[in-house]
Formats: sequence, structure tokens, C-alpha cells
Amino acid sequence: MILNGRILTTTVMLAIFAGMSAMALTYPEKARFLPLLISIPATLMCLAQLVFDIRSALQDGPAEETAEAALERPREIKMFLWLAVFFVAIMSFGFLIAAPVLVIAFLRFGEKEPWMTAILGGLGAWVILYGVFTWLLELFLFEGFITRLLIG
Amino acid sequence: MELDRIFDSLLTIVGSPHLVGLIILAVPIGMFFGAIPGLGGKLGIVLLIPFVFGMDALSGAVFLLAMHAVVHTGGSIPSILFGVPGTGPDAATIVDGYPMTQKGEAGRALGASLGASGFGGVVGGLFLAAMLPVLRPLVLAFSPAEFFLLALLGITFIATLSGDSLLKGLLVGMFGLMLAFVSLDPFTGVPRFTFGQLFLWDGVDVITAVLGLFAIPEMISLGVKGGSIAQVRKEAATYNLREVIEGIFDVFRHWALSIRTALIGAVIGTIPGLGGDAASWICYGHAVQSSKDPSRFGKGAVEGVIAPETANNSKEGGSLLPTLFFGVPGSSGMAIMLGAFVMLGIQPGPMIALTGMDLVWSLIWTLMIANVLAVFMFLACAPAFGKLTYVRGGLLIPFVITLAFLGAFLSHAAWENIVLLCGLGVLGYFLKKYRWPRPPFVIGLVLGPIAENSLHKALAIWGPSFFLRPLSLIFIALIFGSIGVYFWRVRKNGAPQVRYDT
Repeated sequence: MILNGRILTTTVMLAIFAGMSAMALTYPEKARFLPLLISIPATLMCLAQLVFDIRSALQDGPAEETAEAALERPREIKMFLWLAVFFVAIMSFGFLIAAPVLVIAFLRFGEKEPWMTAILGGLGAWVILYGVFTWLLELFLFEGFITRLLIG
Repeated sequence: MELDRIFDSLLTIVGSPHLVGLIILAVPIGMFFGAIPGLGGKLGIVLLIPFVFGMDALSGAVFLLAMHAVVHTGGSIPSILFGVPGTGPDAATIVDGYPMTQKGEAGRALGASLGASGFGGVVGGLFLAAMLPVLRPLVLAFSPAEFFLLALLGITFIATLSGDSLLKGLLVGMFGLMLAFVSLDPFTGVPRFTFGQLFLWDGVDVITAVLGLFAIPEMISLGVKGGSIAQVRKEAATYNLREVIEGIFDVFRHWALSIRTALIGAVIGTIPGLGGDAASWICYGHAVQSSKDPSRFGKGAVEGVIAPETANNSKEGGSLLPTLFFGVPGSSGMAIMLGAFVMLGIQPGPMIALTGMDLVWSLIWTLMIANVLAVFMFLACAPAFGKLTYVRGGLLIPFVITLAFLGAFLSHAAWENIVLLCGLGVLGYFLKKYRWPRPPFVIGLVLGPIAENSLHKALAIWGPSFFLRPLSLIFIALIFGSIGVYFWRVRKNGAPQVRYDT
């Protein structure tokens, strides 16, 4: 398979630089000077990197996926899903509610820890978040959009 | 007579149980604020200001300064143990501190960081004392032209930090520079790359970017690979007090590097506007460049911990200079400190040289005492912290991810930073996986705005002739020297075989 993760990563970087170059062209002269000074050479260098990556992939041929890589893929997907769950839960319910629940969920269902360990972990997270940040330091912690709607 | 004044100030502090007690109280508080991502020294000062109401000027200033002086000593703990920087300037410590932890050398890395922080703090204080007579011409000699060239000198270190892939390193550095342009253009007021988002008008937050590019990928990677952060068997690892002390001795084994980076850090601290991030990365770059074997960097070279940590603490001494004598804060932390000083009845400015030298000397001693005290107070805890890295990764991941989310939010009280954190986190994971060196990103992000602002100002004041100013010529020589040394080394030894996996 020629289209591998290495090439995709370089392509994403190329898209970022090319997109930023295109956006910079729309700015006034003084505002676009330095961004273009960086982004245009970066786009060209990224193209060169892409050529190197494709040539290297063509030379190597369609390599067999190693056992380690095959083992890593489902774990990678699992970790990205957990990151997404953390993101959605904290954005929805805020730190004080979501973080302890997430710690419990991750430890119990993600890591198969005993319920006791998971609950203690969640409780510890809440004590630190509420005790240290909210009560002691009087910091405002993001309360989440759904919580904000419910509380009004 | 001046000697009397210097030692009277020392006796005033050590002879007063009240002041000693305040320093002892301030040191762990400062380290706590440093160790929690997103808090940092600035927030520490802000939160502690109510506690110094009613104190006399000396006590209040000593308390706040002692707290602020050791923030980076605490900040190195999560950087070394979990690859999560406590504060922006501590990000440079991750590059070699975290691989040392993975090799089972967490105790030694913490010891080196402690020793370097204490050493840097003392050198910073001594630098402040030594510079008092020549202070004015030095600070006034720095104009936007020199700022620009100093930033450019820092940016040339991107090549040094690119390891075995110069092209990828340059591209990641350029990506950092491009993200540095995300903000309102300082001259035309046009929003650049902000996508209509107000929170980006002030630019990409450095703490969020560093957490995204370093902390999140490390946790995903830990979850994918399983096991613990330390990749050696617990029995084979060394995390006892002896190992920590060994790390402290490393600072003195590399005494020339420690002195050089402490002085570079102190000088950078003196220059208002450059900031701590620049100091630590420039010193890290210097350590790589001046090493006989740069290939060890990025894999757990102790010099890679010593250089940024000495700079982080020595710059506090340097930044106190313009703050006290010109009323121009040497860093953003010192800007808040300046407000606290005024609130305490201390009037910073040139007059302090005539009427407030007792206070100045007391503050210099406070800086040194707090840094030394931090080493001893933390020494006993370091082995216990080292053991944390043998806790199964699965148990740490939810806490570290929560801490990273919290750090991103708290840094600007903006939920949008959490979105940015996740985006950069995913990108950072693939950069890590496909061996794109990540340290150049932070250099670009930190030095980009300094370079752009200074270039425009220098061009407006002098036009292109600013390159011909005497100090500019020195910096230009340093820049060409730095590039020359890099290519000379590549020609002599081949491309450096450094892989920045962290």
C-alpha cells in the first residue's frame, strides 16, 4: 500500500502550509509579508518531503504490515476514541462533573481495573478539582455547555 | 560601606524568624504553582497578593519573590516525569528529561533539574548583584534591531534541534512560526488566520500548544504501547536518593555548560520582552551545539536537562534588574510583580538606586536563599516522585489528560483552547509516530512574534540600515557563526543522528 501514514502526515502538513499561504495572500501587504516569507518556502519544502516519502514508499514496495503495527492499530483507535470521549464530556458537562466520571470510566472499562480502584481514582480527581482549584484557589473551572443550559 | 550594606541585608533576612518562615512557606507554594500545568508563577503572584496585604514592604516582597523564584523548579517535575510541561519555559526540559525517565533515570533527571535550578537561581542573583554598576548602558543598548537579531539567532537553533532530519525539523519550526502569526497583525490590526475566533486575536497560547504537541501525544502513545512511562524493569531502575544526588553532581561535572547557560539565561532575563521560553530554548540549543557528541540529545542527555533549567531560574535574577531600576518589567511575571511592589509601597525606578539599595540587596539574597532552599526541601521527595513513573500507564492516563485539558483551559480561561489542544494533540501524535522532531515547533512559536514585532519596529526607526548598528553586527556574526558551526559539524561528522522522539 503506497498511501501510508507517513505520506498522509506529510500531506496534512503540506495542506496546512498551502492553505495558510493562500489565506495570507488576502491580507494587506504589511500583514502578509512575514507569513508569506515563511509559508511559501515551507510549502515547497513540504512538497520535496512528500516526493521523498513517495519515492521511499515506491522503492520499499507494498510492505507487509508488521505484527506490532497490526497490534497497535486497534489500540490507537481506542485511544483516539477515549480522547474524543474526554473532549465531548468535558465540553458538555465541565470539569467538576465530567472529569471524575471519565476517570472512573477509563479505569474501569478502558483499563479493566477493579471498581474500587476506579471509584477511588474518580473520587481523588474530584477532590483535587474541587478542593484545590475551586475551593482553595477559587478558580473558575469550565462548567460545560449542557450544565450551563441546565443551570440556566 | 557597600559590603556592610550587602551583608546587613543578608543578616536582616536570616536573623528574622518571620522572614525565614515566609521564605520556607513560599518555596513549596511556588513549586506547586510551577508543577501544575496552566497555573504558573503569574497566577501564583495574583492569588497571593491578598495574603501580603498588611505586611510591611520587605516581608511582602520577600514572600512573593521567593514564591516566584522557584516556580520553574517545580515546573520541571511533570516535564521530566510525564512529558507534561508545568509552565511554558519548562517545555525544553521534556526533550531530554522525559527520555531519561523512560530509561529509568527519573531520579537522576530530577536531581539534575534541582541542582541546575538551584545553581541557576544563585548565579542569577550574583549576576544581578554584579550588574548593578553597569546596568543602565546595557539595558539601553538593546533596541528593536537587537531584539530581532537575538530572536533570529534563536531561530537558527531550529537546525541544531532537527536531529537526523533537517528538512522535517525546519518544517516543524516553520509550522511553529506560522502559528505565531495567528493573531491580530500588530501593525495593520488585520486578524490573521483567526477564522473569526476572538480567542485567537491574542495569538495561540504557548501552554496549550505545548500541551497539545507534547503531553497528549505522550499519553496516546503510552496507551497504545501499554506498560509504564519508564521502559525498564523497576528493579533495574535507579530512583533512590543517591541517584538524585548523582543528578545534582552532574550539574557540577558540566560546570562550564552550567555557568554559560546560567549567564545566558540571566542576560536574556534582563532584556524586557524576550521572556523565559526564549531563554530555555536558546540555552537548550546552545547545549546541543556546544556538545562534543550532539547525537546523545533527545535520547536522555543530562546536559539537555541542565541547560534549560539553569536558564529558567537564572533569568529571574536578570529580569529583576529592569523591573526594579527602570520600572520596566523584564518578563510577564515581573509585570505582575511590579504591580505587587507598588501595592506594597515600593516605588521601582532609577530612584531605588539612591534610596532603596537595602531592599534591593534583600531581594537578591531572597532569590538565592529561596533557590537553595528549594533544592533541599525537594531533595527528599524526589525519589518518591521517581517511583510514580513505574505506576502502570493506564492508571496515569486519565489524570494526565484531565490535567492537560485543565491547563489549556486555565491558561486563558478559554474553552476554545481545549479544541485547539485536541487538534494539536492528534497532529502531534502522528508527528511523533513518523519521527518529525517536535522541539523546533516551540522555538518558532515563541520567537516568531518577537522577531516580527522587532523587525517592523527596527525598519520603521532605521530602515534596512539597522543591520549596520554595532551591536547588530555582533549578533549577525553570532548568527553566521552558529550556522557555520552547524555545517562544519555536518561536514566533519555527517548529519547528527539525533532522534527527538519526545
